[in-house]
Amino acid sequence: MINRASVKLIQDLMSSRQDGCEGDQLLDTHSVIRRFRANLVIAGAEPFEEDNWSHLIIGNTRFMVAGQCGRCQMIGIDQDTGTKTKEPLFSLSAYRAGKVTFGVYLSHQSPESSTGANVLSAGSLIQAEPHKY
Amino acid sequence: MDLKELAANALAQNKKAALLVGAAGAALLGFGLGYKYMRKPEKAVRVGVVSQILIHPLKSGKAVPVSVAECQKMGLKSGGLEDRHWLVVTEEGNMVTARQEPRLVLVSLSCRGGHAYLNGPDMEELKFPVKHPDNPILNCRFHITVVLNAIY
Repeated sequence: MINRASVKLIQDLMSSRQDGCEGDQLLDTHSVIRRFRANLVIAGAEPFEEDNWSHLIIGNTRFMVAGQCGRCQMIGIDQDTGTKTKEPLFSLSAYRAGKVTFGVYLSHQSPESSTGANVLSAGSLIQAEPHKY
Repeated sequence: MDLKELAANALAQNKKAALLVGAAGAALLGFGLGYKYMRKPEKAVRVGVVSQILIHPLKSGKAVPVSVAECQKMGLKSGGLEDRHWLVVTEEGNMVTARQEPRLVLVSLSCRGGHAYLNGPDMEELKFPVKHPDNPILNCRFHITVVLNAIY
């Protein structure tokens, strides 16, 4: 699962350090989203807020946040052309200072018996439970 | 009113005030403890909405946007397509992903009428039956971090 707010932040970073040679594609939000090859894209409020969540309820389905999603040069592949660019990994690793994660893995938690509780829909509301510290 | 009387009055009022402050403090402590121990362990807050659901039926292949998907043991499923269900392998059984072949991201996989269809730029459509009951099972070599039951 990735968060559009984080995508927006990375996009802003890229356009601020843009050297002109690979900028055009990366200024389009949709093309940046596709590079992360996520199953779920959410419209959240704050960049990287998903790092602080322990559980999520999406619609009626509960998930455990199973871990953060480590990223590599694979996000450099333009999903429209199949060519590679240094971005967005370059900006992401500069911003995250060593910890190059983007998005989280979710693990389905609702009991098997509860019918209808395992369907996800675009537009569903998302509730989060923060980590206990 | 002489000075002595005034002092005694002030003292009495102060005592009352001190008692009140004490009672308020105890009540606050009670509420605090109650809040700490009686409330549900974590409170869920609304954080956003699902903006897109994407399924990649072929590992490293083109994404398919869907509006509804089912959570299954091995990931999301929608309209007969399961996430990362298919994998390209070499004849020797080595996996092929966009790591070796970045242009694999341009290849789409769709299913209809019991057949899977592969399409990509500058290639003829490739069609094969989804079920191959007579084909031998190939052991493949994998070198990825496997996160079981996960949704990406």
